Amino acid sequence: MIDPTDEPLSVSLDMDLTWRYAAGDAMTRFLEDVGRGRLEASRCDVCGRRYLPPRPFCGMCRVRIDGWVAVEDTGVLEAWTVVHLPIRDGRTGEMRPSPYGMGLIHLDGADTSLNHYLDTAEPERLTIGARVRAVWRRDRRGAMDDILHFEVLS
Amino acid sequence: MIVQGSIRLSFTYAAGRIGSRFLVGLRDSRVILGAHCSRCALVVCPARAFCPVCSTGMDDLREVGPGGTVEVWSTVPGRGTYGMIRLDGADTALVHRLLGDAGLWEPGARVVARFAAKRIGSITDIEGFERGEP
Repeated sequence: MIDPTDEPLSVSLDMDLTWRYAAGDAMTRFLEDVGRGRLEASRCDVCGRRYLPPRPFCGMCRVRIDGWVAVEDTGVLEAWTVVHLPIRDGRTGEMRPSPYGMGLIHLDGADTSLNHYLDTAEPERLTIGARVRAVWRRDRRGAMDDILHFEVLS
Repeated sequence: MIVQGSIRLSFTYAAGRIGSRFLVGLRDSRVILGAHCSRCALVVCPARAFCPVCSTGMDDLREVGPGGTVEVWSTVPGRGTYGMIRLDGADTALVHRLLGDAGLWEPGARVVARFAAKRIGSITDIEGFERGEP
């Protein structure tokens, strides 16, 4: 029974999830290259598939990957969205200003797609199939956000 | 290379009718409430709206504790010691902080709730449980 004198309460909690993981051979090499402003995909010797982000094993052939191949920092937008709900950036723990764009980018020279942020200065230019290019941070430190976002090429 | 970061999860949920009464009890009366099941006679603490054994709705709240018995405990480095405490009059255990020296607890240890001076209607209105009898 609901008692009219009941006072409905709520419970609020802040939970800090701090995470760290070993990047592994392939991702370490990739991120070090990113710190130098360079992108390389890992390439399967058996099927030739070029993975970016790099994978140490081929998901198709189940073999170890040792080969690397340079990839351009330009590509094609395969899917995109503009996020209006402000959320905390999982990499920095800070609130990410909204709106911001997210897209799947098929880089020239890779066979997989990269999930990254998109420049939303002109959102009407975001279309599937649009040509995009990475906008690099000047002070790079070997992390995925050394690329600030991708912008649509005119 | 190590990749690291931090995500803050902020969330709020409604305590519900019985959960709210439990929290108001802590805040206004320094009383810990358990819920008594009319069907299987279990007393569940913290109080909840449905019996975890027979799923019967529970409306009969009864004071339990403030004394209790430590069932199990674990020390989390840098965070203190947490235990499952079966309060006197309850049939289930409450998870809360154990106050005092880390690593000196044993199953069956007798403890008593220490309430915070400033209480806001939160489980932390109980600061923790310290060794002793009520």
